[in-house]
Amino acid sequence: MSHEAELQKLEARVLAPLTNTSRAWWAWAVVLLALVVAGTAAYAVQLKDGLAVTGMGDTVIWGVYISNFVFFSGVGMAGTFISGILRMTGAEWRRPLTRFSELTTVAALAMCAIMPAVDMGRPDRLWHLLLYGRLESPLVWDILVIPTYLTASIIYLYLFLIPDAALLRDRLGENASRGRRRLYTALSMGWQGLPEQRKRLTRAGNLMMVLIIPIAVATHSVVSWIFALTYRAGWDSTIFAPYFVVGALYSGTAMLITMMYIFRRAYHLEEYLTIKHFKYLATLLVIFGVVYMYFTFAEYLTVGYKLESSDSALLTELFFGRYAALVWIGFVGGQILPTVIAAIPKTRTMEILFVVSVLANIGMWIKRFVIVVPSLSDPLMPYAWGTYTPSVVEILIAVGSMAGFALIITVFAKFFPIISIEEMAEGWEAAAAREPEPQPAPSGVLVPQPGGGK
Amino acid sequence: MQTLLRRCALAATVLAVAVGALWLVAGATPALAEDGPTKITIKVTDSGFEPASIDVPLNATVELTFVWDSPNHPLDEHIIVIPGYKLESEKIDAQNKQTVVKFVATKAGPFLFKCDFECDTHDILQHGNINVTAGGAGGAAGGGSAAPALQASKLVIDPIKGIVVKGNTVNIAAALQDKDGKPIAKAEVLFFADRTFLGRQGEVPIAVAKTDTNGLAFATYHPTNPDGGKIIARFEGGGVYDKTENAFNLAGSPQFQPIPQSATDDSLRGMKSVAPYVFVAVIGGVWLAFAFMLYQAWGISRVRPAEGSR
Repeated sequence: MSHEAELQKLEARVLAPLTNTSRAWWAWAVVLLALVVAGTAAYAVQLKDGLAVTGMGDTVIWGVYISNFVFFSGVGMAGTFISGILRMTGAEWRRPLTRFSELTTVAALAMCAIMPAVDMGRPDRLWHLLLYGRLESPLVWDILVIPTYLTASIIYLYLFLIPDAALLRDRLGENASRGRRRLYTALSMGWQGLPEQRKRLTRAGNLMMVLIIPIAVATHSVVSWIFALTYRAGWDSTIFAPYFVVGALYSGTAMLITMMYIFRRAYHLEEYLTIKHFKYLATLLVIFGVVYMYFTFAEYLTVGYKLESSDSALLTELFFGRYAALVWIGFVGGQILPTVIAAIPKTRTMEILFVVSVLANIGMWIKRFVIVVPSLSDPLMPYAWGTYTPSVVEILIAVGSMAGFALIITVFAKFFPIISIEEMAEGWEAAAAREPEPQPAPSGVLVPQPGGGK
Repeated sequence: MQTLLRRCALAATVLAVAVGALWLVAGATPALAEDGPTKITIKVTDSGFEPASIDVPLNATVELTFVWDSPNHPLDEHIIVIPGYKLESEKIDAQNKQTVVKFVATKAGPFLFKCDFECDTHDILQHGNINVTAGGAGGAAGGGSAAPALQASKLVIDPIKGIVVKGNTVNIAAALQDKDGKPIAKAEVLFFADRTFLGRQGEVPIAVAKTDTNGLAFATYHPTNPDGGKIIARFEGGGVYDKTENAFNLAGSPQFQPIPQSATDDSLRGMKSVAPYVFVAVIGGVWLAFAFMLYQAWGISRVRPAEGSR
């Protein structure tokens, strides 16, 4: 099949969900919207009655919100990072994945950015952080870095979306509402595929591709430093930044596999999201998983070997005490099992990898929870251990944020192609250019026919 | 006859009054004076305490004599503690075989006594129990449930008149004595600073020290400001003595010197002061790069096809 025919087929497949809305899509969107509304209502209760409606107190001052914050920043890190790395290295298999990655990052960071404001209780105080915050404080670094990464990710997603927006402007025509057409026209920036336009897009894209990787690493390092730059048992660590970065890559890769599987099934993208893509991502998952386990081992060994009194109490609570169930479920179910299963060739089927990716993300959420809460429960003074049980309000807000993450992706995929058509076309054109044109055979020379012997 | 009878009646009355007065006086005297303390001897052997469980009545004065008895392990040594009463004995070993711990059992309940040396065998074996019960075994010996007879004590701080805070360290010595002026050893002395915080005045614990054999407890205090203030030393009595305390004033001084920074710390401080600006510069640079990219995207809309190219 010529690449023009391939392109037409892809356009038909990818653009179809943009104009045809199934009942299943509506049901899914309504469920997500209901959860977001429930979360918003819970937040309104918190706003009215204050943080007293949460399970947090004067000892455990961070709970589900900050666990969510770290989780979303982790998921957000991997998407754009993987997209940037694969683009830089020219990996051809990246083409159907890049939009997924970039979209995951934007949706996750949007939720991540909300969480500190929710945790503060009074969102107007967020502004105070910028007005009165000390630049020496890692909390202020977070407030500066997260919006920076979110902006970078939106720009990155947008730049590579311009040609597709132009395609939608030209292709959908009367099939799209007037508002949609205006949106596509505005976003396409008058794109016609002219050489000068390509040059500008490539220039901006290349710069962003290089810039996005250090921004991603810096962002998650800063997230780790809100913990590691304190003297608390369990947080006082020198390896927290790379530990968090690897953990983010692990959970982000898992989220990418989850999303790929769902969209492949829902949008019938079997031809474009093949087992090869799942296997490549599974390999990345294994690598990140092994490195993450190594960091986990190194972290606990150095602390457990020296066993200072506060660390001793914390480790006892983590491994044998009140948090033991969570710790072991997170470690075995969220790290060891997914890594081992993803490493075994026989279990590398799409369905198993999907289950593994969900397990990995549940495990990583739990991991973030056991990083945040037990260290805060461990008293700095000789008092009783703090207790924390998330309230209904907190659970609703947390679930609402998860639903918000899924809703952003769902709505985006309703307006824009989930696979970059331009990038796929580029790949086919490049492949066609690499293939040598068939030369007429010189007279008197036998040309071997296909299937005609070895 | 009448005179004799009158004299006999007078004598009987005087005798009755005298006996009554004597009875009253005798009744008002603490049982401690009559019966003395509850004395119990406990052997400290390789396999634990003998007896490992003792009963004493509430409010009795108790005198526990611990006797070293480990001939098979001549290097064994013990210090016996009763955490519930904050009591600690002198060390006993092959040379000093006996120590006495004396206290008034003012609190009812079971109280652990154990050897304070932390090792596996001590942890497992060297445990005992003192059961302090109202009207328990021991009967009236040692005072029973009558009010405890606490001995007087005195705490002397040097210098009592106050010192001027000139440097950044104040060394405090408190001497603890009994009513005869003899030093009380191994007693816990608490030190507090009388401070105002958020509009409330109260005692902030600054140190805890045990008295040595001379009855001296030492504490080091690092004032954080030049304001001075009152420092209080307190002895809770340990169940044997009266509670006693004493205080002295730290006089404020403009010559107060905070803890000086080392040269290395100063240089790091310099770096730390520059770091925020570097951070802001980096973030600013990143946002400038964003602006450049958006400018490029905007430039796309300004590109017009060349003549004849369409």
